[in-house]
Amino acid sequence: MEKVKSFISSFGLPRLIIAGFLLLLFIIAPFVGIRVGASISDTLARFGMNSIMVLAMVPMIHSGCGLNFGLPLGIISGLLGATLSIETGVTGPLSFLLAILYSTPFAIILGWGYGKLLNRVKGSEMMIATYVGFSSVAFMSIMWLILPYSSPTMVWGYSGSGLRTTISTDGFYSQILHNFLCLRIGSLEISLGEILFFALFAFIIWAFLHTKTGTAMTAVGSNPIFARASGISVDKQRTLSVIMSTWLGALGILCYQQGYGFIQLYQGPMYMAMPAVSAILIGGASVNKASIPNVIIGTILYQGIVTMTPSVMNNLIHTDMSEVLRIIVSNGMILYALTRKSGASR
Amino acid sequence: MNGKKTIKDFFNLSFYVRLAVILLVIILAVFLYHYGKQHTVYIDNRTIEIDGVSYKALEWAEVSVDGGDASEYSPRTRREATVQRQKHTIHVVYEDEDFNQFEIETEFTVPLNETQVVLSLPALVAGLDDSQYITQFIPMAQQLGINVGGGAAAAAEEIPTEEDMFGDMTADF
Amino acid sequence: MKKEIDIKKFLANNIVPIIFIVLCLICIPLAGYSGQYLVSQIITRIMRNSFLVLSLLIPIMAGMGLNFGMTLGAMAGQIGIIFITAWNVVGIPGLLLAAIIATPIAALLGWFCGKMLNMAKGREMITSYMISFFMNGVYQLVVLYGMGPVIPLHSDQVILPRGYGVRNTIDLINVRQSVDNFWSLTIAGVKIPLLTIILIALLCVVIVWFRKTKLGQDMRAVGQDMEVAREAGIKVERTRILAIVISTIFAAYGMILYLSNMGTLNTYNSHSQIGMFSIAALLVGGASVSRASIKNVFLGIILFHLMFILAPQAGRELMGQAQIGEFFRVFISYGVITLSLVLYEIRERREKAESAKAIADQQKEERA
Repeated sequence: MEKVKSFISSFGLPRLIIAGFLLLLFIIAPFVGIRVGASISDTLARFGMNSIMVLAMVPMIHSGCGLNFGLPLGIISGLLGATLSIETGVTGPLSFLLAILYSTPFAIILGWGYGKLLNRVKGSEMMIATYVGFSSVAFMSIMWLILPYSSPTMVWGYSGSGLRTTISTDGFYSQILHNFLCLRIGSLEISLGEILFFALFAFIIWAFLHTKTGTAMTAVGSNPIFARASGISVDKQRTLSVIMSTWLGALGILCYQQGYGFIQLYQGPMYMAMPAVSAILIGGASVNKASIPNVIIGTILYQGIVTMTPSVMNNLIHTDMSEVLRIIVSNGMILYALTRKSGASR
Repeated sequence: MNGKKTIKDFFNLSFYVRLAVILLVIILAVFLYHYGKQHTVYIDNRTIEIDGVSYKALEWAEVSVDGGDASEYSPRTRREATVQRQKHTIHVVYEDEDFNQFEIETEFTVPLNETQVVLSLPALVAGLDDSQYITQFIPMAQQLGINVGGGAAAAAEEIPTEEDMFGDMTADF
Repeated sequence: MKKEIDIKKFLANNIVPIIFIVLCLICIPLAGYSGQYLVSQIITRIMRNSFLVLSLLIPIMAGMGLNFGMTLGAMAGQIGIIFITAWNVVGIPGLLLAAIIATPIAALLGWFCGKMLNMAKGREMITSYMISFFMNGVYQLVVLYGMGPVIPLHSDQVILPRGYGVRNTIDLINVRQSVDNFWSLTIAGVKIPLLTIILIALLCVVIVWFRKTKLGQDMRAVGQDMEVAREAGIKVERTRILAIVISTIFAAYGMILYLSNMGTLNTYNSHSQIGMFSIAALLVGGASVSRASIKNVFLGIILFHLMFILAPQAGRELMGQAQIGEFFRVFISYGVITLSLVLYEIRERREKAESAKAIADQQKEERA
């Protein structure tokens, strides 16, 4: 009994409920005429699309900057990279590499500035990060209209200027990771390409966190006063973590675009931070603690619920309440993390 | 605040004051509902059958509600009057087939929860009770059993799916 | 010498309103609106929004920052409005009834919000912000699925043809401007709704009076220093919850006034914009996270809305696209909130460092 209790407290009750709910959905699914294989493939495809954006939370949480509500800033660097890559007219897998390459300097510059800003507002990073994200999205909305792009696949046809709201990545890098090493067993479809891509970056982050710099970063997050006393430059470590988060955010959106098939500009990135934040929290992270397993478990649980609820609900009660449920679950999870005592110590 | 609260502490003066205030507010709410509820009365002048008796439409009538402007009715006319509260007076001047003029003034009560009612002039003039000459308004489509607004039209109604908080950036404020 | 420092300090403390005044001055000739039009627009918007913005003042007084949870109050107000529209209760009695319905809902939501914020001391703002997101989901659940079968409402005007759920937009013709038109004057072609002005003035008086009451004093003490207040025997948690409850209830009333002035209800997003715009307006008026006055409210509404009216037109004149102006004003609203939050944090830290230095100096002197 004691063991069960300690297990529940270590795993977290809401997490257990969500995992149980997902399990229930998978059990019900075959009885209401949903093929489980296809559902699992869907979940995995969504995992591949979203996991890197969730991974982008890790460095900032480690350095004590809290949840990265400013993810839209990273997404914007990704969008700049994506649009520039399409502008050059290169097609195929090369365009994906090019997009990563182009987005990197933007991510580094924006992340550096963002990091410097967050260093000056220690203690209320999350609120300011949220609004930094929003303002940058609004600012870029103006920019998408006036930047001199000219590729006909991206520009509004009738006016000849200003980018479209959604741009298809067809012919460029649509599905390139998904179709790379894709295993098909019946209705089950597992894309090793996406999973390997995620595994690569997850490994890099894991390895980084075990280097000297990485442990210094963790020290800054867990005890900044002690870290300063032992000669670590707190601000430098924090800035580095923010740059890493921003760059991973840029990669994350590129990965998302290749799976989704479209680039969403203007107000598209506005609320993309929320699902990522909530996913890592569902995975067991807290405001000041996160690990790679948290990312993996969280993304699978979150995306599993997002894929399963609509189809099961629709077949079961012929009403699609899933969107509302998703809002309640994901924001409730963030709220739970924010109001926990362990988090409040910081 | 030390020790347990006894029941006596609970039922002290401030409790009763609060209770009284809450009751007062509830009474006010009920009053406002009665006072502010708007009813649409369709005053109808057509031949009508109630309990097997037929009442023929009036040849000519002039009607005013609550001393307002009078309007003329010929057979098969229906006009609407919007009123608040339940009790109202209606003043009817009418002619029968032989051009004899009659005048009648009476009070009627609109059922509280009905927003739209039909008031039948012939039935009123015949001296029926207001519970008989005032009936619930049933839209034509519903009478004929046509489903207007259901099916395809209902599906076309825009139902929000993705709600973004603090979201619609370009809306007016 | 001293005067120079004063000017510098004045500029630093009021940078946001100054930026806005400059922007408005640039935009006025560009947009080319007539003075009369601008004045009447501004008056309309003051009448529409000041009640909402005023509702933000009390939590700031209690040191809880900008209450993003005012959205909860707006939701309660909307539920009241949905009920009276479905019941067809019209005019001022209808609005009063809506307020009576909204009050317990707002109080309950405010209590929930206050409880949550007590569990997240030190990061009230982000938490209240997330509460508004979370409650938005619950609101949608109630309004989109609950109204009709669970909460009995039968009105074609309000309920979707499918039999449950509230329509996306509701025409509030029955209560439109009923407060404004009840008693109004027209001066030089500008309509001045006196009853609305009286209501707003009344709320201002209540807020000023409230600061002097025992509860108001307690709130200020809690806002200054929670631990000191606790030692002085103030029930900190209860005081903080009350601050949020009061704010939420006022926000609900503000929303009812706002909607009656607008004349239409966007069931699923009216409330969401309200939070952001009200907070931006307050900050534009020169308020900060810890200090806000009635003066800030009115200055903020005037400047923010002037910008709001001018930006699209100026964008069209300057760039040939009204959309740029629209995006610009959105950028400005978000930017203002960001800037104010950042400036506040920096100032706070500087003050803390200065006071720490002062204490250190004092100790050094004592030792010497």
